[in-house]
Amino acid sequence: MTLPLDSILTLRLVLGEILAEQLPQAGRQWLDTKVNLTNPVSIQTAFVAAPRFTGKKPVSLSPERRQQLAELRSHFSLLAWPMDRVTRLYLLLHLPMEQKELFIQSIETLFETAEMNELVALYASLPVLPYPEAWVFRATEAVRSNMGLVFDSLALGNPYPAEQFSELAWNQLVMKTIFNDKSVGGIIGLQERSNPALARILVDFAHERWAAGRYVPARAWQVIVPFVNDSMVDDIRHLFHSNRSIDREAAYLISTEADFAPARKLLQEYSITVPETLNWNQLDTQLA
Amino acid sequence: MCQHELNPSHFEENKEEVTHSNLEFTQYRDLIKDMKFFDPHVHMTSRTTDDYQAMADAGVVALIEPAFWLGQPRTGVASFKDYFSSLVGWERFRSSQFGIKHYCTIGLNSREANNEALAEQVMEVLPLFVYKEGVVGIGEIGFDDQTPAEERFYRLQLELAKEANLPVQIHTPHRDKKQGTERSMAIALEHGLDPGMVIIDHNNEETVKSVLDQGFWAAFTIYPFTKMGNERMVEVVRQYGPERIMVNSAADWGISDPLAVPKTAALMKMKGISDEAVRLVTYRNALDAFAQSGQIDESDFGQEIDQSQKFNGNTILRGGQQPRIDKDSIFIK
Repeated sequence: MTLPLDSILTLRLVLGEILAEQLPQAGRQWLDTKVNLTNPVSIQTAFVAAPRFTGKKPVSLSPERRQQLAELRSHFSLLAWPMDRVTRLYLLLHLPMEQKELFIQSIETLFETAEMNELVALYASLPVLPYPEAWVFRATEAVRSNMGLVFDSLALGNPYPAEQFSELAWNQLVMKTIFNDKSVGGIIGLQERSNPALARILVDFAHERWAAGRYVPARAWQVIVPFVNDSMVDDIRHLFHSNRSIDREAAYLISTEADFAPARKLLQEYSITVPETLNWNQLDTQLA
Repeated sequence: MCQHELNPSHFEENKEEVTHSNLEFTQYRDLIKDMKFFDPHVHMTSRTTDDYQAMADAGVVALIEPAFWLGQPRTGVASFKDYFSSLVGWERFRSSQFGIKHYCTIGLNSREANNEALAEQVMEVLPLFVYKEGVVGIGEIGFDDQTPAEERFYRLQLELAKEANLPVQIHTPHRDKKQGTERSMAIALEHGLDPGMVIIDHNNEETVKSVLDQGFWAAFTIYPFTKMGNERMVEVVRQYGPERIMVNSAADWGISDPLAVPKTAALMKMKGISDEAVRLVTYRNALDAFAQSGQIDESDFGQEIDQSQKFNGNTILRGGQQPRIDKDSIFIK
């Protein structure tokens, strides 16, 4: 989705209030001089230098603030953001937003020269930047990154990929999250963006892991639920036979939720007892 | 290359046979047990994961990787950008996997300053990098052939260091070293830099006195054949004391030794240098000099590695420990 410009400007005001309340005094003075500069290079340099003046204390958010942010942009919160990251987003929103080409070029330059924490700030900011379609390639680069924090900033808790990624790019993101042993449940839009190709890739991947004597994170199996077919019945059986209880619980959830009679029948064949409140999130061993 | 260790110094020849290059870890491990080291000049981009592991085992807790040339000239500004990015990005991450805190200095090295058209483009991107987190100075800059182009970009970068309030790490030339070192210091003073913010690197017995007398930091590179051997280093510390002196390995893509700092510490202890002097020369002085950047927090050293930084599907960082592979096993799992 494209956030309307007036929402972006409101967000900028909100960020300004938060920073005025929570930055150390020297940082506040520094920031005041920087946001008044209109040329992109000054804003870019300030973006880079921010931690020297702002520190990295986590931002504190009152319930009202959280509410306010959630209303401005769904699935966007500043939860656990350090002050330098909040400041960096605030600075990005002072780049010339009405001049599309210049704005995109300014952000691209920051990506090209970014170190790890700058990349995290940029990727975490994507959901609230104008011209969302312009950052798709950059976003896929985060999925290719071997730097864990960079990957996380785009893949987990971030609504941008589900809204902008092609099916191919989406499936890569989900599979890399699984492959990297990260929290599959942290992906926003996991269920909504699931597709038959992803279900097939996951099953093939499971076969490889099983051949190597390894496992697939149990939480990942949710993606096959809408697409269960005859070819997958043996795989569900395999899960019912697993020595890990979370795999057996995943098999139970697939069989219960899939709209596919042969899968339902497995529930009679393997009568396992599960907690009454069992749901997919409980199978996410990587969730904090 | 040029100076060879067979060239006599004005110090008495030492007949001891132990040198840093034939010292094995098992022989000196006990001497430096529980000590920690800071190597303020080492080019990790050129080194393997085995080197990182060996450095961590020997007590290296932090290091500085100065920007330098890559063995052959670059052809465009984009390769400089990628190199600077890797120093603050991938290499820093790689180091963190071994529990070693990685800092860097950023600058245009003297050799490539001679390609003036390219050097001008590099100067334009430098400000985007020098303010980055963990950039603890401008470096390594200075003279190589001592050409007018080298001088021009050296001066420009001294101004950048002043503007950014960052220490400067100065490479001194292999050829015409003594004069090159004097000239580097004179120009730094001419630009109004505080000598306490300037680290003169690759010193030897011939240059050290003047560097210390003028109030600069004196770094010594323990590097086989072309720079200092560490037996000579012990004598330097004996003669001048530990104040404002630091040692580094400058290990790179040449035959060099990433364990030069812990080995030199061990050798100093063997030869009766006090524990406090060893600590200053192999840890504290480098820390004090570069911490003037405001970018070094000693409490970050030796921290458990952030769990969330593990990557690529394995348990590489679990518990903050790099998993060991059994190198003698024929099985790879």
